[in-house]
Amino acid sequence: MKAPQNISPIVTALTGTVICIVLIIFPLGYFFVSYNNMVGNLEAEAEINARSITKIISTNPEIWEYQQLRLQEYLLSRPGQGYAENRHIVNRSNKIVAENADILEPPVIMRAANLYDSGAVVGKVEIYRSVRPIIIQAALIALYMLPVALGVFLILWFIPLRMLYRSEDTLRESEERFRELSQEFQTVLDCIRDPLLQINHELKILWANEGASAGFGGETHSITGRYCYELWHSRSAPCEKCAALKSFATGTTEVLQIATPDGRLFDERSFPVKDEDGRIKSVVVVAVDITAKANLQAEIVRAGHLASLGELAAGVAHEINNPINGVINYAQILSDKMVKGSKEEDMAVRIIKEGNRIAEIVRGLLSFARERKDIKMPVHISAILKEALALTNTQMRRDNIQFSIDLPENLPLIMVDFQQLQQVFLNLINNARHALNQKYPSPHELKKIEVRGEVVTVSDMPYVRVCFQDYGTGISSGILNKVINPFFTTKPSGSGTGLGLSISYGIIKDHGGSLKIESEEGEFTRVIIDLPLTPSI
Amino acid sequence: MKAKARILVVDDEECIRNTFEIFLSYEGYDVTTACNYSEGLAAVAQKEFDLVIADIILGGRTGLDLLGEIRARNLQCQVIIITGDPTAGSALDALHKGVFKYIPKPVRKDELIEVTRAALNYK
Repeated sequence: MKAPQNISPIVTALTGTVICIVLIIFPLGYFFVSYNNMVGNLEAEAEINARSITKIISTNPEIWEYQQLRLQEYLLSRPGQGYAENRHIVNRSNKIVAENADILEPPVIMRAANLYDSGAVVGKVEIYRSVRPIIIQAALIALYMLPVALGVFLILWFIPLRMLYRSEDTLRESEERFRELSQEFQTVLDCIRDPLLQINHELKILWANEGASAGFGGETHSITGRYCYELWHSRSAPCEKCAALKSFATGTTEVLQIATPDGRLFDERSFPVKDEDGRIKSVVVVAVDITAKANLQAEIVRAGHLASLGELAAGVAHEINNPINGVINYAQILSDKMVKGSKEEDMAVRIIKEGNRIAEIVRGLLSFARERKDIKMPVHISAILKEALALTNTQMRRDNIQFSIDLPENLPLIMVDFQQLQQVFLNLINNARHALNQKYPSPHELKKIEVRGEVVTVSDMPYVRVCFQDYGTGISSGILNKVINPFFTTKPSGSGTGLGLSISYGIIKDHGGSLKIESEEGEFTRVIIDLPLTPSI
Repeated sequence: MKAKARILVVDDEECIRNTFEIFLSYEGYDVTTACNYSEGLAAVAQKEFDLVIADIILGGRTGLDLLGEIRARNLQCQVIIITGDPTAGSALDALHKGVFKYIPKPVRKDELIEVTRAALNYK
């Protein structure tokens, strides 16, 4: 049991003082009572003796002083028991007339009574008694009281302290339990990965879980006391639509869907916290990141669109393939009949060539749109690029965008899903086209997309690296790390879903590869795709 | 003199029938055309062919049905299936029914003549 700080010495001092007082009072009280009793006895005895001797004096007033034997005998006639006493009868000249002398140990007290003859004082009776017996008895009482006092001291000292210790233990246990509960509660709330905040009327953060601090890129203590709109939305004033403010106003749970500047989508719910009087003290805000869910929904919609496109493309492909087959073949017949090298023969050959282009486009469209379920096969990267270019060639020519392709023929085959990789390349080409058109509305020598391929080694693993580089608007460093986030787009409203790069990133990751973006605003954007030679999935 | 090989072209597209007939006739083959399944079936019933080139989509029935019927009748001719909508399913179906070659459209002159020769030589 640990002594309470400060209280233990005080209790000890108080108890000690009380015990000392008790220890002194009892013997002293006894002494004073006994002393007074002794004094009273002596006075009464002196008075009685004086009266008796006065009678003797009255009988023989002239010669009483010579009746020494008689007086002495009188002085001796007292009970044998009792305290030792000295009794003196003295005359008017203070000369002892008769005496009875016991041995008295100091200190001694004396009481006297006058002797009268016809009203005149002729002498006095003096009685002496020792006080020592009383002192000894008082001392013995003090001695007997000592163990009792010690016991009382221990009781008085121990009981209150024990009560204090118990109170303190109870308090400590209560604090410990409270701390444990608090820690458990904090742990439970930290286990919730979604941001959880408690904010006051001013929208200042009173408390936050780790999910919130991680989301804001700081420690929990560093975000406490800051404004939620400042952290969450990088604003200097509350948002126009704020679920927390609405909760303060209505006193009810409010729900709001918000998009953060970095492209994430949150389902924000605010719950008012009321005091005993029903006033709203604060609001607890839970923000559930529904970006992935929304992404999935968008993917489902997209998959639905692709499925529809696939059906449509299959029908269209059939409808186009037949006439284009006819066009190519009729042109072939004409070409066969023309004089070799003639203008007419050249035109027929051109018809065949253009017909073949249409056929290629139809084939590419069909390949892109038709549903394929994650079929990985060994493919040369240039075959995928060729398919993607066939689909975008017309747009590129219309926008005066040049392609510079450097894909060595000896690049090894990689195990990929052809259609998915084609989708990635189409996304990257489309993004580059948009950036180039923004920077160069009219033809320009730098209005080009460079595609390079090589084998690289990353962490002792061989990869096929494909770089798409354009010299368009570039990406500012502030948003470079956000462009992969779903729903993040720099294109005008309606021009982009903000999903292209995130889907591409996911596809490359699914292939065990990586997609990195390097850019300088106003200069260039380089997308680097590394795909493993040996699939790691 | 060796008899001309007899080839039946079945396609609902006139431009295909027409151009195939010209290409193959020019190569010296005896070419007959049919524009649908019924005509094609009637043709193989009336005349013996060395090779049948059939599109898959032929109005209500398909070239694969015609292929099945030819095999069912145990006719000794090769069959080439052409299609503007190539799918793994139809290709597998054709293979099971004993197709010689499954070719996605467009089918160009050189490819047509090459595969025709191969089919006739195989026979």
